[in-house]
Amino acid sequence: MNTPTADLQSLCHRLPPGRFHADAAYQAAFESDGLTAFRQRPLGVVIPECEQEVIEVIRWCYEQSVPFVARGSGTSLSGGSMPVADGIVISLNRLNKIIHVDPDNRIAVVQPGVINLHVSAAAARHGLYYAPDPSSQKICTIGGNIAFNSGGAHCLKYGMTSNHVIGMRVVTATGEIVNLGGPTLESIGPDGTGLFCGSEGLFGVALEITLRLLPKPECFHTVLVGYRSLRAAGDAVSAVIDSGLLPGAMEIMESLAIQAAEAATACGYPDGAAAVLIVELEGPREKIAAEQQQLDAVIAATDAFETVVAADDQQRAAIWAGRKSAFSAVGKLSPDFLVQDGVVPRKRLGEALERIEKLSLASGLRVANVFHAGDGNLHPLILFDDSIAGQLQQAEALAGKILMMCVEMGGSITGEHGVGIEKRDYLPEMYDVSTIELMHRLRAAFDPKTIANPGKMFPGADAPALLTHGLHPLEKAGVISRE
Amino acid sequence: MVGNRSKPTLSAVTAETTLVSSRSLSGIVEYEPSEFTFTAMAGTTLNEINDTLRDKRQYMPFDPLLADHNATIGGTLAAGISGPGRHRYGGVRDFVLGAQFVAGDGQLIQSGGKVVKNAAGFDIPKLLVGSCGRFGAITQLTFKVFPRPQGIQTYQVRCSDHAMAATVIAAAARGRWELDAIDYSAKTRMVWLRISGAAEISQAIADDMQRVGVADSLTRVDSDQAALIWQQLGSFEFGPELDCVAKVPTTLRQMIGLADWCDTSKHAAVLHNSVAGAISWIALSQHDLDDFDTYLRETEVTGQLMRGPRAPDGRLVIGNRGINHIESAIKHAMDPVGRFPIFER
Repeated sequence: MNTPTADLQSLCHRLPPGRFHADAAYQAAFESDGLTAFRQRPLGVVIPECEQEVIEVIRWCYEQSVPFVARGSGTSLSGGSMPVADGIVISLNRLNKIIHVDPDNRIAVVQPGVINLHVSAAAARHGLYYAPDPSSQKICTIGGNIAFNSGGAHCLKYGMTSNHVIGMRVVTATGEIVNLGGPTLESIGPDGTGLFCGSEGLFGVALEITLRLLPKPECFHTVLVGYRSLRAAGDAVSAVIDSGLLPGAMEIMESLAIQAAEAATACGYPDGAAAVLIVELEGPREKIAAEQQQLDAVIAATDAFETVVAADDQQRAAIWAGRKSAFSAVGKLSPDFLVQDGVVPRKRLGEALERIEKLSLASGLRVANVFHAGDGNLHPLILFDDSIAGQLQQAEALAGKILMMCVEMGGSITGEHGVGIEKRDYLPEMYDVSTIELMHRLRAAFDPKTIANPGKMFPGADAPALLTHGLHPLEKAGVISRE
Repeated sequence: MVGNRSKPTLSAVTAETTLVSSRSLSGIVEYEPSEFTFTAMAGTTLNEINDTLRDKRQYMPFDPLLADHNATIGGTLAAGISGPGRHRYGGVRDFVLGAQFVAGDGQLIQSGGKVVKNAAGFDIPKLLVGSCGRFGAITQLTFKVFPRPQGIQTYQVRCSDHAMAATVIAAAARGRWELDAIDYSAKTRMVWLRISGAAEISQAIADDMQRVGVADSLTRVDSDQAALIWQQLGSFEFGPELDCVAKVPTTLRQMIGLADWCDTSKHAAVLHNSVAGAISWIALSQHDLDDFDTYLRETEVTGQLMRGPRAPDGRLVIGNRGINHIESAIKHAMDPVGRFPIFER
């Protein structure tokens, strides 16, 4: 799809001066996202200042049949916001207004470039917060969260992003403005808001979003437990679930990740643990007082060798710092790594981890596991060295085997990072031809010319250049971390 | 596709449309208490599912309605309706994980997944919520479930008017107490608060709400009376002369307006608000339908009739149409041969 320079001039004419940039510095700045393995320089970058400018760009793209990729802070771990060659990047970071917070109806209306954590900050004075908390929440934007239906550590109890988005005004890839949902939790007719969440930018751009806010939990009871084996930690998760408790979060890290986190943050995790389990209860003090006794009794009956209960906010923060830093810390053990995001049924977690260990041994590559144990969402981190010929291919082959294992166990290829570029070849492992055909038809309803974020989610498109691996520059700087 | 037709307005189609019953598509296919998931055929009744979950101390937190009328899980999803418990953890849209259905071209579609977390592909199961069977014949559904609370107590707050009720609702919903449900009966001017947990914990929370001034007085409702209160909504029992029931998504301000409209309606329409203002259930006589439609249009509010005749001009929605052009394109994608009726806004 070649676009003559003259056409770019026509785009410039539709926008105020200074919005469109086609110089190499901008092309380079937007060539990648959180999946640093892939890079692709776009034709140019538009940085709109308002909604109408976004609409103008998309209408121009539709008229000229030029592909576009809308993005926020570019923290996608699946390559979801990778540019397209001969395409335009629309950077939405300047659409960053929190339009209003309505404490009585517990909603916030925001623009797509608003940073996730800023919503909670704006709601805090009303005792409210925005629940979805991807680890990159200090920097990732609501628009990106919607596109990839982002998760976080609290999904079992609170759900994903889509469970907290109740309405949107969107511009489809044809330039049409559509209202989905509305200002209340319920709407009439098919749930278009639910469909749009997780559509990976293939439908268009959300321009104004209505989010559901929740009362901030009053109390936390955070427990860190050390186990001599991964299986014992897995059994403890089952015991907590069987007890009837519904923790806000349940996370497991295994030894390699523990050592790396300890080295990075001195988080005080138990020495010599093969696995640590973090369980956190949250709620009103009256309920937590009762539930913490119940949880402590459940944990005491497991095969734990050390149990630490966070005595205050500082200790709780230290426990979470270890967990949240785990991926970037493990990443420092190796020049390069790949992270996977598969899901297995919770009861098969132990079996899945044993199989990953065998696959790791067979491939000769180390794998560190950190995962959301409550919802069976694995994050195996595959360590390799790209300077050694063939190791990247080995790592990708191992990652593929892990994804296939997740599907075979009745799970999913992605729990919260989305398919993007990274896992698009595996989508047919989850859905049959008819279902994928239906997805293509749905996409065409919003984007008949296939210009919105092409090359993502579905197999068959040209792969962009695979260049480098390693930590994202922002991870190296300690600004963002991964789930 | 129809289940046991507990929301008959939604399946009141033209004579040339063939109704297919899901009644024989009944039964729980898989239930994994440790996974917090179950899969059931579309025609499985809510009663059967509720009973099965109760045995394992679990429940559907979205609190589906009309179980006493043999409502099915497929119909509940297609109608997109949730009960008072939606307040705490979310509605039917927030708990559906996977959907199997037959598309208009006869293809069997398996969308979503069977695990509690899945971000692969478009979220078609959510699109089916509220679609009223217009996109495909739903055959099987997978849902997330949660542990059942140890106990539930109901408290009531008597309000002098609807504005006071809105103030009580807003304060109760915003607080630290994590209430299970917040409903309002406009006719009796009573706000009902459902608090989960052991009785002494619920009482401590109610005492604190009173202490901080959410309301001057929170009175505990005995369990028999509480069961009756929640069952009346759960069964749409609003009075024999009120033959229409509509769901109207509302803000608190819109709820007050609707409550005022009910107070002055010719045939004594009633409003039961659920989910802290978000859902207004209006029960009315069909002789008030035209006035109701006019009021909703004037205030730009959209509703949907679940019981009673269709809207005055034969549409599925009442009041503001909320025309959405993408909906017809989505309909064509889901049902390219036009096998199913259209969703008439």
